[in-house]
Amino acid sequence: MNNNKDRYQKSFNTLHLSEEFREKINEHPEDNGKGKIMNFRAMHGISRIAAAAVTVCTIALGSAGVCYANDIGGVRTTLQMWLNGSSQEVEVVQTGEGSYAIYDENGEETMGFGGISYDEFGNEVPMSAEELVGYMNNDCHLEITDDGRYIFSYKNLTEDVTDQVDKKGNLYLHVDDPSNPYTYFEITDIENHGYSVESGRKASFGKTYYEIDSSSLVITDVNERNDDENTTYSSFVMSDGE
Amino acid sequence: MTKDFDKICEKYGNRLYAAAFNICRQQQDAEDAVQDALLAYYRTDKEFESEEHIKAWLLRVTVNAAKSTKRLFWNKNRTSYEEYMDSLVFEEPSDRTLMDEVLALPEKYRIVIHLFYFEEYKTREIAEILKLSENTVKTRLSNGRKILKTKLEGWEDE
Repeated sequence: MNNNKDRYQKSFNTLHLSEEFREKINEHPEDNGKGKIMNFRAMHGISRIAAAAVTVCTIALGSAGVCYANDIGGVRTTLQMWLNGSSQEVEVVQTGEGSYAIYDENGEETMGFGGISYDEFGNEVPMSAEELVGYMNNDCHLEITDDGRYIFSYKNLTEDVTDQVDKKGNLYLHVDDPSNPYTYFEITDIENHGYSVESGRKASFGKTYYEIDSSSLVITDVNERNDDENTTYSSFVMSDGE
Repeated sequence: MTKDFDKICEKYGNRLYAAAFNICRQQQDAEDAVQDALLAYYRTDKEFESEEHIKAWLLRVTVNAAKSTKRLFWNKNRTSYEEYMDSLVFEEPSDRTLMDEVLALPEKYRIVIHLFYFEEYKTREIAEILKLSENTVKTRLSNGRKILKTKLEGWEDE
């Protein structure tokens, strides 16, 4: 074996997808419906960015003490955002291609996030700050407190869901929100500073969902998340790990 | 053609991964790109004419996704290249050397090299997949080969 093609193929045939990847794909068969698959992809992205975010934010805070909005260039937008159960006005500054940083009322960086959509050919289309925040405002969030409690939040709702964690460490939660069709939440891969969320239109087969008390839910505009057949969303959220 | 997600993943998964790794040079990013491509395939309503059509489409989507992943700011703090390469089991040391040298090429050369040598596409087909002119593909292929010739023992003239 000595021609170039054979040599090349022999070398690159060493590369294989990891078992972890195959397991994850197999965990999400398409019998949950297209919308579910789309959201798996989108929310899986949140886990990805959460892991990397720790590094990004640590560098920013460590080198400059605190990172303030005034120190950063880029396009700025002021948006309303649900954070830990309350609606807050935040300043969003574009920091890169499809990536943004959020600053609170004090001008202090609190979160970085990014998102891209793909057209039917897989070309990247960076999402705008408005699109992303709209997406995130219809999503759930989980905070793990220092004493190990799991605090779920969705719009203005917050609830301690520690006792709902199943034997595998996952959470299956449902919110009754007529303005949002994606309210069956599967929260998995929970780690110190990250987690994955699938938000589906219906419950996954064989799973029991804990019903979040939604009696005090503030009904917002209808979630017009675009899930037409030709768009795949990929959105990312991260915390600074503090 | 009927879509069979598992079958597609089984049949093309490693090929897509090899193409993505060629661009990303990073395991997790490459797998993310493959995931993007597989889900794009699942969601598209595109009518595929043949298995070859599916393969070419998936490769195109994977290459685009890999380029996107590589550009994004969170491309940090992942398994290092060396760490991952050390975990691979190469049949011979020269196999590792070849991969190292290919992956050291400028990106625009190495994906063309990969589609030519691994996927055995013709330059015209590579041009279609990468949306480049055939002349550009030929130039990049030629330049990539020249570099490999200087780096790899026994790399043949073509």
